[in-house]
Amino acid sequence: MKKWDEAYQLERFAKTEEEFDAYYEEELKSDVERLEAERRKAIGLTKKQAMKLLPAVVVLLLSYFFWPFIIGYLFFGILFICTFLFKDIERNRRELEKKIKEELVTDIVKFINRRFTYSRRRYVPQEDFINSNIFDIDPNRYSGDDFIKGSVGSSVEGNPSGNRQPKTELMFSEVKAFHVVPFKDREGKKKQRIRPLFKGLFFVADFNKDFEGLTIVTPQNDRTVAKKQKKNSKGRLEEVELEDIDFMDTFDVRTTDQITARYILTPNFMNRLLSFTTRDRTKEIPKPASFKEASRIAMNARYSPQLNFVNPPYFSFKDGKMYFLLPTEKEHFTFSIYLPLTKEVMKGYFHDINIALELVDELNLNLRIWNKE
Amino acid sequence: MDTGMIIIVAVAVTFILFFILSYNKMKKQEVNVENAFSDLDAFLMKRVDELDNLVQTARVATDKEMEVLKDVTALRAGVMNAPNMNKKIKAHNTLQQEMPNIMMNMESYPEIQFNENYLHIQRSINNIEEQIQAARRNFNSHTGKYNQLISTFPRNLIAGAFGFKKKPMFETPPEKRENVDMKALFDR
Repeated sequence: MKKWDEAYQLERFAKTEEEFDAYYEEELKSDVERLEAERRKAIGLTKKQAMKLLPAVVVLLLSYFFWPFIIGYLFFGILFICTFLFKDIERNRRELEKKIKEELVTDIVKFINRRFTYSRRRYVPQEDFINSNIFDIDPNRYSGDDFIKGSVGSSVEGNPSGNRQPKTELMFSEVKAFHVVPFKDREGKKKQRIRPLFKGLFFVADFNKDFEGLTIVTPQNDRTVAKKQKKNSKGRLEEVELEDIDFMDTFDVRTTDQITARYILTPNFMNRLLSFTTRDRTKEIPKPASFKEASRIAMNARYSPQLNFVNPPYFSFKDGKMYFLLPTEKEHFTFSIYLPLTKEVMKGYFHDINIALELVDELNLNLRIWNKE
Repeated sequence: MDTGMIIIVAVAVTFILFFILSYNKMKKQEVNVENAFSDLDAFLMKRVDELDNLVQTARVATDKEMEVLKDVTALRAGVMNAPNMNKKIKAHNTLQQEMPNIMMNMESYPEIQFNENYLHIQRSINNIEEQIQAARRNFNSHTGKYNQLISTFPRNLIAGAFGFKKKPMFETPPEKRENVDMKALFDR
């Protein structure tokens, strides 16, 4: 059932925890259980292969005490056997990961929004990252995966006001961006100095107003952010002092045009941006019902949702587009073959995708009372 | 040169330097305020132009002489004939206060309410209103900085001597500060 915003009669797109729970029980659970069975089978194979290795390890230990002169040959021999035995395990792991992403993540993406598409290997283009103009330096090593693209809105069905809703295009993916500088050390050896710029989720969305120029909103006192617009070296970014004290305590704002910055960052929008960034999302999650459930969540912590934004996010507004960078410093949509595939892991995937829709809902990106279609 | 003389010269040089830097800073800030007002004025005039378009559209759509059009013409003249910044701000505030009544009066004519051109201009006015708010906040920010600069010691002495005077902020009329009930607007 569609949800509507009281104040603006806008469709709300983000899904709730309860909706996900219901969806999981009805549709996803059987697939998760089937893939969990496959995972266990893969673990069984790992154990079996490890058992095959046991005699070789015993021989290695004995040789250490009795025939130390052959230990080197033995070690490399065992290493060779290891590679042979564990090749199948690695292949199984990769196949399972592919299945999880292509079946489960795709299903969750479709549950969240039917118009979203998911590509496992693609990512938001580097050009968009450079366009966001947030960091003082452009990345020359850029990678990512888990690309989700689509649009929300443009539906008239069920809208209490009867008006056709506008459409907001958005895309996001996991991204890693580095700047690598090659150099020679004192001995003349070639080395690389790698400066990590960003690791996390990168979102690009249509903004609800038309504007030209660049405005960036970055965490307070972040020294890595850009001081000038790169495409035009003369376009120095000026600092903006806004009226909202809490907002200015959290963020620094730089722009190419003071009026455009204020056109984007209205008092209401600053409020929404601040509450979107600092909201405690853990309150919305039901507490684990038993010790067993709590320990299972703890075991999966690495793969569980990082609900609150641990590191403050970056926002950039350029030529009618909004760029949102959430530095989570972790891998998304991943799983470990050694940990059970549970509802919590699925919830982690769900929360990562749902952020995009929360962004549209909470910042009213689909609201068009201005001259933008 | 004895030590006393050196101290006197150093103090005098420091004083002159401070004087020059303060004067330049105040002048620069004053220019910023004027520029910010020019930007704001451009948006305000854009609103007046759109209002003109609205009047033309209404005339064509209804083919009647409406009372509200006379009000619009009077308000427009008030803005156009304002001789200085203070008067302009007052005239625009009056226009802003009257805008909702003008729109409501116009929309009481069904031939206007559903006129495609009218709806387009209405959206355009919404957009300009947002730009005016942005330019107004920018102007107030510069004016606030300028007023603070010329009213704090010891710069207030230099400001007084050179005729730097406090400038008025562009305050929003009280009724504009209330939250807009979008639901009521859409239901209208």
